[in-house]
Amino acid sequence: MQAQDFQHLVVLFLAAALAISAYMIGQRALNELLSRMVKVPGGIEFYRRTFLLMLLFGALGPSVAADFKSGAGMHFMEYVWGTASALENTLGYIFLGISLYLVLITILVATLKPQNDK
Amino acid sequence: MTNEQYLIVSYFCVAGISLVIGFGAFLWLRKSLREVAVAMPWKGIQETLVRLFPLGILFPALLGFLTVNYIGCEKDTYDKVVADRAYLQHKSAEQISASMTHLVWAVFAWGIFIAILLALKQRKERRAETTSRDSG
Repeated sequence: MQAQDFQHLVVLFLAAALAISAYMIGQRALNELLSRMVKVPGGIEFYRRTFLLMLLFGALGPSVAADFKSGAGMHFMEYVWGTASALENTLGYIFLGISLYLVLITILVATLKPQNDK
Repeated sequence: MTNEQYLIVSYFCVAGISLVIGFGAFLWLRKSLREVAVAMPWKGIQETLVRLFPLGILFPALLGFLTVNYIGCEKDTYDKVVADRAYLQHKSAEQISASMTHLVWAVFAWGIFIAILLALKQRKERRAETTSRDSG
């Protein structure tokens, strides 16, 4: 296995791990909010799955296309910088995924107006 | 395998992979979308949603694949494209990446569309409730 392939695998693994972590962190609160708004069967599941899909594809997309330099005489830290640069892109897209989803949820809240159940 | 053969094989394989990614996303959301569609009070919308959803997911995946051009500023002729194996590999990866990014936007659009339908359904139900309360 070449250093480039290894870097690619590391970035893909980290991208998937970060996306799933973001999903796990937001999942409980999201479920609570959705269960107060969406009364249609399947609706909560649809929006939960949409969230995971947006995060995963958002993270994996740029990771797949990451371009790594390699060559004789490259130092360890140069590989680390290459990986970090690819991860920068990935994190940017995860952030974009979360932002898009927040827009979606805001639209959902604005249109469905959840009732306050105090 | 020559670079040209590699280009032909990888191009069609990546097209297949893009469709598989789109199909995976469709399968992942299909059941819940069908349940939402069935709950809609309008007759035509149920079938329309169920029939259009696969297209609304598969087309963006394919569109993402098609948006990537091999011939561009960097390599402006076919010969230059074919001469560089690393470039071909990178373009294939870019095609898969574009498919995924387009799918994110497609899923986002579907989410908004479903939100609007849910809001309309809720409004209809509230209006029916108010009417029945007023008449009762």
